Amino acid sequence: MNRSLIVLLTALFTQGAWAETHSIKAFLADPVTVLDEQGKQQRELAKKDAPTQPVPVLQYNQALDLVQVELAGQKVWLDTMDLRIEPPLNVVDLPCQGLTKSQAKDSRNNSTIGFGAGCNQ
Amino acid sequence: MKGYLVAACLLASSVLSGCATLKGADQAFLNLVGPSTQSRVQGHYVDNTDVRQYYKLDPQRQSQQRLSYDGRAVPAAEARQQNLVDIPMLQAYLQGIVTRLSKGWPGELPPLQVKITDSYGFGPSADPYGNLFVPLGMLDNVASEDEIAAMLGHEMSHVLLHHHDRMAAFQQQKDMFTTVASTVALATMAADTGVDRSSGTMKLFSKDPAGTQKTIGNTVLYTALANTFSDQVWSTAWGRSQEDQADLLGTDLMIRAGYAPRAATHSLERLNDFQGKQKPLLTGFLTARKNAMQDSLQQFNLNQFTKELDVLVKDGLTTGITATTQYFNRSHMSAMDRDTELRQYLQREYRQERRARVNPQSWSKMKNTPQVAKALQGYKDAYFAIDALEKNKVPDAERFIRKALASPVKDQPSIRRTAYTVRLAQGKNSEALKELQAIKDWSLAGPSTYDLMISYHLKRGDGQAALAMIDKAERNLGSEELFITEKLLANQQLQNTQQVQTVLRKCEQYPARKENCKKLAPVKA
Repeated sequence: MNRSLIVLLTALFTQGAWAETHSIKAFLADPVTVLDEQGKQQRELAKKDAPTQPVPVLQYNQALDLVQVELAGQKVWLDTMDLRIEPPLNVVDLPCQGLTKSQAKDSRNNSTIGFGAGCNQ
Repeated sequence: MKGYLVAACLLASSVLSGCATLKGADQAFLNLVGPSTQSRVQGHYVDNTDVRQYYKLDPQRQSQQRLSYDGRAVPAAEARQQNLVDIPMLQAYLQGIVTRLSKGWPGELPPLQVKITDSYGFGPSADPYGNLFVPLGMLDNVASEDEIAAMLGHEMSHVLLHHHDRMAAFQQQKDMFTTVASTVALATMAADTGVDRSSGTMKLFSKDPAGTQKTIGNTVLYTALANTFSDQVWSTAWGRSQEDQADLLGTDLMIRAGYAPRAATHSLERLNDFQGKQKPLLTGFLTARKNAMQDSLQQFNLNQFTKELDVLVKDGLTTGITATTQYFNRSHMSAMDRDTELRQYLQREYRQERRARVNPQSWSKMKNTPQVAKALQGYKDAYFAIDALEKNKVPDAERFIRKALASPVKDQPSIRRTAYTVRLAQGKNSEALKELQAIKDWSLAGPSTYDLMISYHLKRGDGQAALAMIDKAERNLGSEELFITEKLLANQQLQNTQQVQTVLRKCEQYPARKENCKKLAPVKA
């Protein structure tokens, strides 16, 4: 398997994982600023007009701290500062050894690791 | 929701108010409810009248604090609990961030000094003397210099706004919790002490050296692990309004210094995540620790003296578990609330600045500088060694500690103390001692490391060496209270009656210590 294929698969997997796991749980700012992929303001969205149900995150641009979502059938970018995203984007990666100090039933629970590698050792 | 919070706080307050050590806690708990500071602030917080009163330093207050350190009058509860970490390049980098943040403070500045600690907790802390303690666990998890600046700005703000003046009630409780372990060590030593009837003096001799060593070893191990989270719990156990104020001022300072304020919300998210992940550890660990202490106590030949210590330890543990859990829940709840409030403040007061992006490069560069990376890895290996020991994986512990002992930080107290614990677990008692003796700079050591050496000297009946080590501890930690009972024992060993009486009189000033001192003092004719 060559390097670019690995990168491609990783990117696809990552994107899929984002869509599955992360969603906007709340719009914190009012109004929410709708941006383009470079972070330039396109328009504003009043909080009362924002979706009330969780909105799946399609992509995350870590450098600009923006997320892409679909609003009213259109793909747009939003600043994470305006949003509450679950699970959170900023987590701690505790040493695996630390995590296995928990109760037996928790000690093999990879889901507590956040985005880091699992602790299945 | 608000009603529920009030009811919960009142319940917590009424439960806690039954405990003498928590006088004033009910008011502090009520700080957690009511309107948030952020929503009441108009304009930038740093310019508010509430904050302006702290622009000018009170010279008397400053000099009192200096005297506390120089005069070794720092209360045991305020003395730092961890070993310090010496990585000069990293230290200078962090201090540089504080200097940059300080320029945004319009008032006079108290001394502010960054100190890295060997804790793998996430939250930094500050003491009233301007020491800003940065745990290795924080450095291990932050993603940018902006995020470090957010956390340091927050801690600086606690100092600038004199929040410690309002922390007395909580400090007492912390004292009880963190000294439980050293009480067990003392009890172990005392239970192992016999009176030499032929001379009529108290002389320490070992009835069960292997058992005692094991108990002390376990206690040290559990204390190290306890510090990982207790630090975190206690450093976030400030009243809600103090936290809010520190969030606001810290954010103002970081924006004035040119950092991206979104990093403050990153760190609050991380704090919330850390606390969530610690919860099962907290419960499991406290149970394990309680059992270990009970095992320790079962080794004693319980006479009246140790029975009383037994009660003290049990009471301390019960109170510690209850209060810690309550504080933990409280602080766990607040991190996300604080984040939401802070974002609203930023939207209101810093519409442009809130869009600034963090710059992850400077921190990444620093972290990956070879001498810094090697030192940080050394500490991580030591942490892994302790954890392997806790799981009875002694060969793994040996592997990790060997790596730590090959790192540039090999002779620092935390690393050598871990090596000591590994050697004890291997049954190599004399090698264990050599590990402690290899510590090069005792000014970095925390109380529990001093405790080991002092206990060792006392057990050998070498009162002089014990006193020399106690003197070092007093000088470096600024606290006479911490080891005053051991000081009494050492002087008794030396049969220095005059000094024994002097130390006894001093011990009377410390409510948490005086009962132990009285019990250890020779009965007057």
